[in-house]
Amino acid sequence: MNRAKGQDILCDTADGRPVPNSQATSISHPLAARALEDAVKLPARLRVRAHPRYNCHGLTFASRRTAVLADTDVQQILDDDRYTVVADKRDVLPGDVAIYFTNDGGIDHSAIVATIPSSPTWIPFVVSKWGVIGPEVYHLATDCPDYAVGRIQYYRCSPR
Amino acid sequence: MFAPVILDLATCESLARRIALANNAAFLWRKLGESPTIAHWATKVDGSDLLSALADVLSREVLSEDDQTLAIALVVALLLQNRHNAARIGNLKGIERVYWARHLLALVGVRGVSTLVESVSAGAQLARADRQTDSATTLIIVPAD
Repeated sequence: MNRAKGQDILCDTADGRPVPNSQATSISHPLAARALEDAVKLPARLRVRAHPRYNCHGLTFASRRTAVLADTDVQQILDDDRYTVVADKRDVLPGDVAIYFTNDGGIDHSAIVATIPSSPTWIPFVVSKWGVIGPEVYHLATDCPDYAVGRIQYYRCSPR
Repeated sequence: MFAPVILDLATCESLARRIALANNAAFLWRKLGESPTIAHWATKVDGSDLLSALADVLSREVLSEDDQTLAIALVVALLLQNRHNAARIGNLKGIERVYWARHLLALVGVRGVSTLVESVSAGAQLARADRQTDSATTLIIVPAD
């Protein structure tokens, strides 16, 4: 099989559409990446130290093999892989994904849900990658630096 | 001829943190567009001076973390100033050494001028509220020898 344009590795949606992706080969900002690691405080946990192979979307949708960079590609995956919105936060389960939307509808960040949320906040813990060159962190969904935590939407893969 | 555009330490660290957190070019574009320093460059510094500064950074044999930060900041400032600067940036020798450069150029390639103007405006507004984390511009201009 040949890679499509914009693919560093082969990666398709469930419907067979190629997902453009990129594998960085080095950490351009090692000091800043280290600072992100140092910023992880309990109850968050540093899961994997900073590296450049995948970003948050690569963790969430590409098995930690590469970085998926464009919002449009994330949306294509959500559509093609049959992700549906989990409308009620109380129904969120481990394995669901969290998409962090900006006010203008862009996608800032994504994560995999790791715990069942509980009362009163109904905010689950998630696993996410902080940046293309940052660490992978276990953290409360709303407890992450600089990402748009005000409009987190949860999705579940629901193939028919 | 003018001296290079530079970043003070606090601004450089603040921008580097945002760069390290970037999962995509849109995040980088938005977060760096909020920087008062970059907004100032985009609106007050001549594009040819910004481009010269970028070329100077790219000419260095080894790009340090601060060099990478300055290069990305200059790319954002140039694109905020005029999206048509994308072609000039893309033609610079060594630009491929800056990971986010091609992604920012691709992002701007699918956006309109109005978006960029809005971004500058938004950046200027946010700049006023952002001075705690991103200190004022350090721009040194000296006469040529």
